[in-house]
Amino acid sequence: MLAAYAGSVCSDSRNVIYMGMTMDTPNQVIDQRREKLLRDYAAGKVSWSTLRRRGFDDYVAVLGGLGALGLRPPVAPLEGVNRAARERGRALLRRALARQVSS
Amino acid sequence: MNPGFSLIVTDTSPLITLALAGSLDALLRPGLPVSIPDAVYVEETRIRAAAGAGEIVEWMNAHLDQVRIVPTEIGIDQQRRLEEGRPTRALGEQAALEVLDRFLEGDPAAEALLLFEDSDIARRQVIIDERVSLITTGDFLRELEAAGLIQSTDYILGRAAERGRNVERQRQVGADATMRLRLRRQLQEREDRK
Repeated sequence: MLAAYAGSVCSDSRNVIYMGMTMDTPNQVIDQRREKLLRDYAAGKVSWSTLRRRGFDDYVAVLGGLGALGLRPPVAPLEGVNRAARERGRALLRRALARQVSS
Repeated sequence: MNPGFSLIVTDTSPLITLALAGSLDALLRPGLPVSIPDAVYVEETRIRAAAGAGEIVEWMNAHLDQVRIVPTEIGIDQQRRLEEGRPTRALGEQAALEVLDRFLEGDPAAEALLLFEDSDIARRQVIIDERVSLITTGDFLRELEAAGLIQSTDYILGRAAERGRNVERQRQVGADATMRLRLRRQLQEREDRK
């Protein structure tokens, strides 16, 4: 990610414009933080709510970041406090799909 | 369709994922009415990603018999907040709970399936009423995959991320162009001052 920005034009929160910088600009430091968050998200370590609180404006930005890193959105393992309600949900969905397929 | 059932979307992420993967129709495969709270709809369509938002609007208009936007008090609050420039985060889920309450109150035999984003479901104790079941985007896709209705869950999630990357690149190009314009102006101002 960082390499993609090396030598490009970017600015910081004070609207100072940087050109062709070889050291990390403030935006690049933020990008490193975002990359770490995205990797943690893909690994199931942090939630979408956390990403929102940490500055991801919308889910397209999350998907875009994951795509750039060659990652996918996480699929939650069937465990935890909501396991029973999720199992019920999957069973309900299975029945509904079976009805649709047979009709 | 069974009127006693409803699939209630609690967050923008499942819709955006399926929209970018070109798979919104997957939501209709179970034959359940799909309810999208107004706050979720506004949140997903007001963002800059015109590609995803546009597809969602198109898709909803093509399926008005199965998909509906449900007005809520939270949605009214969201509108006020947007007008006043106040934060609107997490209002979608609150609106979904309001939709759920009304849906269950209106019909004692009604059952609802709440669609959540995967990473959020694991950490939160959501409802629980016996008439309410939960499903995540991943669970949803896995069931469709098991029923032979989609190629694979990984394929759809991968496609969404790939398309998201392209949308983000376009945003970046737009941001770069803005930045270059500012740079030109900055240099021009400096020249003018000389």
